[in-house]
Amino acid sequence: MAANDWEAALRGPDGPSRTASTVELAGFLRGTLARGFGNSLTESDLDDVVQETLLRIHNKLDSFSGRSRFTTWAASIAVNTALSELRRRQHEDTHLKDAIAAGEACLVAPEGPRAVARAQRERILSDAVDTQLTVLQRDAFAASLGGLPLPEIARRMGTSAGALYKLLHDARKRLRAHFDTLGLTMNDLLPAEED
Amino acid sequence: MPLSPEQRRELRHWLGTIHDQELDCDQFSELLAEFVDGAIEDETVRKLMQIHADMCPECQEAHAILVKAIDS
Repeated sequence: MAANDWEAALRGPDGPSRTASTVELAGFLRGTLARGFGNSLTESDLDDVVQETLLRIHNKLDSFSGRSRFTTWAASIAVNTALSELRRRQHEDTHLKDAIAAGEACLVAPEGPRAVARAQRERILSDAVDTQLTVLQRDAFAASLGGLPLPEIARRMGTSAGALYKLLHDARKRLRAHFDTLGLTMNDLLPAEED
Repeated sequence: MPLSPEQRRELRHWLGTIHDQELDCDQFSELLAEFVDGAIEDETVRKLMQIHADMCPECQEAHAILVKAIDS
């Protein structure tokens, strides 16, 4: 069965055609994931991700617009499924509150005579985070600084990556508006030459 | 623990480049296949996809892996 026919077969009734297309699609997804992720995914990972992806494709089939190739659409679901699992695994020992604490610690200005000017600048940043953002925005911002990727922060907060991105987009606009009123650019606050 | 150089660069980029309209990650994921296939006709939407990929490391990673996976 050609790849072009998989979509139609999957939408069809249970039977040999649908089974065959599922098997072929699974093989395609496995090869696609192996190419995309290389050694990051074990054989067992590939099995699990392919199974999860097939389930998601089945559940989302009605949302396929037809504007992309079916294979690209299916592959995008597989890639996101694999990334979710890899990120979950990479950060499974990191508690949200620890990531928040790590991020907040980064915003504490450095000490020492040479660091006075830098400390003042970074204090402006940390004060802005404290005064301009909501509690949720502060936590998400700090957790991101603390090293958790957005999808993992979202998962721990019980929300979607999209909703969290919107929350942080608003946070960015608030901080930026605040710095604009102070007449400061980001390079004023965090000069590249101090990196 | 002060901000690392990488954190400083990310903050400068994250706070220095803000567009009034940005796609969120769910919207980006929904359109990713079309974007990779060159099937998004609306130039504004294409630009919004590029902006989001530029601002969101996780979505940028998904895009890069998908391109590599289907083009290899």
